[in-house]
Amino acid sequence: MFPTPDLSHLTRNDYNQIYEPDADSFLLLDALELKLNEILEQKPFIIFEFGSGSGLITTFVAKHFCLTSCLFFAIDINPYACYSTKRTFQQNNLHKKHCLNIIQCNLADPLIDRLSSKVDLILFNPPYVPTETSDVKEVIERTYAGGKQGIEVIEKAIEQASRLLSSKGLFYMVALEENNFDTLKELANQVGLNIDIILKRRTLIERLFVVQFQRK
Amino acid sequence: MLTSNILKGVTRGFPLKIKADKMEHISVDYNRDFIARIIPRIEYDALRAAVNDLGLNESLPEAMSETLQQDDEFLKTMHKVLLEYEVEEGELICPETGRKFPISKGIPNMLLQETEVS
Repeated sequence: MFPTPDLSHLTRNDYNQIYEPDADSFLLLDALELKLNEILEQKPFIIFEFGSGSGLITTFVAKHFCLTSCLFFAIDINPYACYSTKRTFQQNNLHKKHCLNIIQCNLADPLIDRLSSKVDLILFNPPYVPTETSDVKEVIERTYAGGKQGIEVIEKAIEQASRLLSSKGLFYMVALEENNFDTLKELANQVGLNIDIILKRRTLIERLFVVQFQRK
Repeated sequence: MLTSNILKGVTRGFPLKIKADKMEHISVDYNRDFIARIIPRIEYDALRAAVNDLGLNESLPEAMSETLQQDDEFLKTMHKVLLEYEVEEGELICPETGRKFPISKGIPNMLLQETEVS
């Protein structure tokens, strides 16, 4: 089992502004570890994380899934998250080996054309909690508010992933049972992606799972 | 990272102009393979324009030939230009609309306002 990246530089104050890694974050790490060989075989070069938050996932991937220097893009709508991602990457000494580009934006909006069909690995721990709308004011709410069925943002991410992924590219995402796997499958099929469940976990309050998307 | 220059701002505005108020020079381990892999994906002219915008004291040849892509000196210069200059504070500017995207702590803010979403 790979050790979790060092997050000691982040404080309670930081977690008032950004998403504090939780069961869902660690489930994604575990799922990636399960898929280590498959991912390593692809030799990912361009890696994209939607909503990087503390930077945990990007840092973990950089540390254990990249044998050579890679090009990372980490985005978040929350500027504190962007800065935290930068700090976490540096705290774990990955900035000298890899190239990390952090942008404050909504999913891949400013990059979608230039990175079309070029991304080898996409990662997303989305705001998946069903809420009335995902268009919420408080920054901290946006870390979990998923709108109708909890999938407003997920739907857009899947559509963008279908444009970004390279031919053998892989997209890993965390979801909640309420997001409904059949709905996710429908969304994937609509854009020509296959979807499989990689890992499931039940916590006291949630039933989580991680899915893998790839081109048909 | 200078590579953020290869981003696209709005529908047709590429490349974005860069204005730097504060630049940083950082030291990154040279990795020949990484640079060789990245170079074909870069819009070379856009990169030259960026280097010019920023007034960097680096001379890049006018065109990038196949032979040049194997040349160690060239690769080392590209490494320096792409990875070792960071715009800490500044702006990315759309050449088409003039829209400015501020850069703070090395991170550009490219969130669109509600009025800008088509």
